[in-house]
Amino acid sequence: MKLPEFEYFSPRDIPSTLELLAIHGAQASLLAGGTDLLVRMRQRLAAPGVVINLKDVEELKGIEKQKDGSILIGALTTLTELLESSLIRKKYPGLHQAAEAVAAPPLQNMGTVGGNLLQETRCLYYNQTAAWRRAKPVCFKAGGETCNTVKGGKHCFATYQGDLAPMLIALSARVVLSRKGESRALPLEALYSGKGKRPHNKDADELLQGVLLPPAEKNTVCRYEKLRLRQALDYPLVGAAVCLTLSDDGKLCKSGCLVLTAAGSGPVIVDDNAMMKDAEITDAWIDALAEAAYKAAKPVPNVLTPPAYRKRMARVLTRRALNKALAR
Amino acid sequence: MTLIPITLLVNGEPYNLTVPPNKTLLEVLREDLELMGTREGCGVGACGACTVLIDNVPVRSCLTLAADVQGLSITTIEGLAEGQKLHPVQEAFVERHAIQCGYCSSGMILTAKAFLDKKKRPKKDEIKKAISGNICRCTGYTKIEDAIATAAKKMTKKSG
Ligand SMILES: Cc1cc2nc3c(=O)[nH]c(=O)nc-3n(C[C@H](O)[C@H](O)[C@H](O)COP(=O)(O)OP(=O)(O)OC[C@H]3O[C@@H](n4cnc5c(N)ncnc54)[C@H](O)[C@@H]3O)c2cc1C
Ligand code: FES
Ligand code: FES
Repeated sequence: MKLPEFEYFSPRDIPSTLELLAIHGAQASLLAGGTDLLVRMRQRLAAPGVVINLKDVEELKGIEKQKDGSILIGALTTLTELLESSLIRKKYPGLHQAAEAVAAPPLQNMGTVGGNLLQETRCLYYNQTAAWRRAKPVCFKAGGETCNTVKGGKHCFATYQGDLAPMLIALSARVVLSRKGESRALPLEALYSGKGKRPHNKDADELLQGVLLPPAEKNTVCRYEKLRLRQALDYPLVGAAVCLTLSDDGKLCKSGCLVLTAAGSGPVIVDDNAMMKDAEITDAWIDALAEAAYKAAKPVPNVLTPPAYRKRMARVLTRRALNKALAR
Repeated sequence: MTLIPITLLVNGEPYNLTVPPNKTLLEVLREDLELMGTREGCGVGACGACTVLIDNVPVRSCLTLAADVQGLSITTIEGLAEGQKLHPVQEAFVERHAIQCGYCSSGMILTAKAFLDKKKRPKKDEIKKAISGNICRCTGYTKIEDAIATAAKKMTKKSG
């Protein structure tokens, strides 16, 4: 099926991108790698009147160390560029793992960091062709009044299945959003509304410029574990990201964060420095975190495997991620 | 919809075209340039049949707007052979019977070619990973992996 019609712009710098967004905002879509947007457009889940191609905005590309030691990853940096960065591999190996888990190499060549964070929520009954969808009532996400996943559901339950967000949240990343005349930075978790229908707290005229990673701390260990049926091409059925900062002797977890993906309509923060603050590392502690992940995961039957299995796997993956991060 | 003039560099040849912006590279290759070697499988990024190389990097042409790739070097399966002489990856696919129905082959061969240009002596796992984004419904992949390993040997022999 052909793509729907649109007017096309290809700005070369950030100011002209923001200008175009100020003019066309609500009816425009930004096109980065296109591996999420163009699929939705083909399936008539999106039909923006204006498409603004970002691929020629060089300022949005690249990974740069800032004066204060933090790292700025431009929104247009591809996942392959992220994977090829020795800085990321050495200092943020958890992020390297998460990027490696996305789709497959050719899609990593195209997909960008910004597009990954801003990809839409997904549902087995929604991400289908128009012909397929006609067999079912129009759902909340498509502008209707029912949920095809949860009988009697009063809102959209579409699932957030990004692989990078959980790890970047666990790493305390911030994102920089800009619109004409202003710019704001917010913790990455604040970008997610947790709502299936409109999953991002971002206005139509805002551009995601990049992601800011705090300086890598010594004694920090991270790990991402993902459940999928095939070892490539598949979105996560559930995923767990952990980051821990340990005491010098490795016996205490001084601070830490545990985040799930594909466990709700946004990334799900299981623990952020509550159970993980100044905690002694024991089997019981790992079990307790795994149990907390089990409780926090709220999968619904809108991806391939049943929710009960995915919920149990949230526990398994959490334990696995913690054990691997701690090399136990 | 405003039509846009573009120049595409495909297999070393420049083509001047006027296209609607919603036309994908896949559609331009097949419909405007009549290069039918690039296939459409799923049309939504999930199979790899439409793979082409852009600056020697494998991408999905079904998810690439033709307007986005102006001035970049595009290689399709038609661009691999030199005259009658097949590219070593093509030869290896024939010799090792890595082609059955052939629908995935253009994408597989281009993906393998870009991979082997970077990796001279690939391990089996690396080969598997390199083609993990390309689906083949016929061969069971084993013969494709063998062909890529054979091609690697041919290519290192050639470049010495
Ligand atoms: C077969 C297949 C398998 C996949 N598997 C996975 C997977 O396992 N894990 C996973 O996480 N993803 C997966 N994806 C989704 C996708 O490939 C990746 O998430 C990719 O990183 C998206 O980036 P993109 O640049 O292609 O996004 P695009 O499609 O270009 O953009 C996605 C959305 O973000 C918006 N956007 C993009 N950049 C900006 C910006 N700078 N500012 C504001 N808005 C912006 C766009 O308007 C659009 O709405 C898969 C896709 C396919 C086709
Ligand atoms: S046709 Fe492009 S990936 Fe299947
Ligand atoms: S040979 Fe038939 S799909 Fe691969």
